[in-house]
Amino acid sequence: MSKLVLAYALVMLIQPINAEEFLRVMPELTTNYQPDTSGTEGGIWLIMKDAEEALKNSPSRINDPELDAYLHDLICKLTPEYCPEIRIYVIRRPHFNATMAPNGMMQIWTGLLLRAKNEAQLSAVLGHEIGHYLRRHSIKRFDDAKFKTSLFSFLTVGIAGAVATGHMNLNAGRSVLDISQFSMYASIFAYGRAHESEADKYGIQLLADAGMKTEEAAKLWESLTAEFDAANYKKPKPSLFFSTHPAPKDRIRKLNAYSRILSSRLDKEESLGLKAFQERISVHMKTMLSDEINLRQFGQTQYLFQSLLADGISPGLVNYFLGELHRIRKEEGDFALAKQYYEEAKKYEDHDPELYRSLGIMYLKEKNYTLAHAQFSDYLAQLPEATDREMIEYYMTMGR
Amino acid sequence: MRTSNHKIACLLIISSVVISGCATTKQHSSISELQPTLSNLKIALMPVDVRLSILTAGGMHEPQAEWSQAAEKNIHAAIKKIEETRELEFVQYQRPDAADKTASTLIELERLHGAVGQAILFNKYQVKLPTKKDVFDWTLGSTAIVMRDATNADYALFIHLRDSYSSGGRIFMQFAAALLGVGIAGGQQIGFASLVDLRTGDVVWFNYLASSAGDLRTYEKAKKTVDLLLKNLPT
Repeated sequence: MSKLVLAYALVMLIQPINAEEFLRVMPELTTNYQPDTSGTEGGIWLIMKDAEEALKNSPSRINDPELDAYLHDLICKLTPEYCPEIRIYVIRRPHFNATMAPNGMMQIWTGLLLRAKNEAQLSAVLGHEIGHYLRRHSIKRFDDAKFKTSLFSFLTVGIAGAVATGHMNLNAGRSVLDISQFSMYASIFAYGRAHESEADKYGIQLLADAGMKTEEAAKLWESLTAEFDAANYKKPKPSLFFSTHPAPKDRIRKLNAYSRILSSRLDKEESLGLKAFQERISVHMKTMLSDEINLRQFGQTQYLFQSLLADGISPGLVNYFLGELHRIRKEEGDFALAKQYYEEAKKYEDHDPELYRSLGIMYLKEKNYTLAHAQFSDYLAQLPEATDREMIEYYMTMGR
Repeated sequence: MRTSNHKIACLLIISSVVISGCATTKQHSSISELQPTLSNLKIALMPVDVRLSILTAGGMHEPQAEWSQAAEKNIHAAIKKIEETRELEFVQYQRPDAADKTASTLIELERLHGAVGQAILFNKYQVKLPTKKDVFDWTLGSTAIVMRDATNADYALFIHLRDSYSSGGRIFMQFAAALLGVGIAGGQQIGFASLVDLRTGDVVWFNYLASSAGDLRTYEKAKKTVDLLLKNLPT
């Protein structure tokens, strides 16, 4: 068994990429494609239609027409031909993810908006999802799974027949079925992984066509890998056979190789689109940062927030939420760090008034009543409509 | 050993050909007749949630758009027939415009019933929770009054049906398995009809249907299913 694993691993690692050519991936859909309603695809589109209705009105959906329009414009930059038929939905989930349904319905999770550092990185993901749509991956995967599971069922009946008629030993039959089932699932997942690779390639192809900085695609995965490495709990090892996506380092390697071939033609600064991107998501920053804190995975969150700070993103809010992180985590040294971050946040225009409450509570804990009361008055002054006014006013009576 | 296997095999083959499958329904009713407060009794007929699929040899469900659309038409035609023969009047519910103030509440109520219906199906009739044996307290809550105001109807009828049909490959497999004395399930029809009193949000009448036969793709057979589903609906 270990020889099999070794052989598989070797085959996976040694995959040369032709340095001279980049075979373009072509779309497999016509524009405004509508499937035949009598087939598999028609049925899947019907289900997707229901899912889209649910998604439109979902409480998880962030309904910001300006953000939607901005994202849609990016999609049109990448594929002016197909963008009219692609719908984008921003979903409030603090994880790095985007999905594409076979009928052109795309989801972007807020965790992805928070982690992408510029338009090029965001577009790399948008392009990847567009690749899934234009190459009909979901439909192909369904057909593939259907074929393989049916084959396995027939095999089961065949083996059962062979055993029943005495042509095969029962234990041998069981082993064959076990291995076949394992292979079936491994094959189904491998097919999916091949699609993910193809979508990566399509994405970077679209980036290059749009004149965007192609090296950003791999950079996005590098920073994501660094974030996962900073986790403060042991992450399970991704399965060799059953992963849905190729390993990040394989994706990074391939994306870098593609980028070397298709280098950007636009002026580097412009193609990063930082200003427009930051402006569009700034109104959602507080929600996104607060959702990250609520995950209580402080190792990763700390890495992410430090990285945002280093890039100068929303310094008032990021400092405040770093304060929150340390205040909630309560490990050695966190108390002092929290106070530090709150004080730092005050210096910036985009700080949140809630920081005064948190800071006040910390000073209260230290029995530093003068400073505590000062924070609480600032809190109430900046947030006159505060719903916890009575409690804060009670805090202000303490220590007198 | 071989003889009894042989007997079982014969029985299964014959049964798969001859027996057309049985349909069972289980019903709950907390009212014997409708008690409307509005002058003319109307029941809001909610968009029918029906999906037909092929059951593949490997056990996957492949949804079919044309079949589902045909089934929806047949169900509506059958309901029209029922309207004529019984003292019932249905008014078709229209999903609200996005611009409507109450749009999001109405959409949520419809989706809520999707969840409530599934809960009843699963907990009362399939898994049969002991705590729900003599209790039927499912409700959409008092917000349902918003739907009553929007539809001008005191009651709403929800219909949910999922029907699967064995593919050619699966039928072959069922036959082959029967030869070996093993029964493999074919397509199933599962669904419910649920009547909600929009003044309180309570589910006042519920009919659960499970069948291994039935075909919603043709009007005559679909009518049989709908008649069974709406049997003893209070008037």
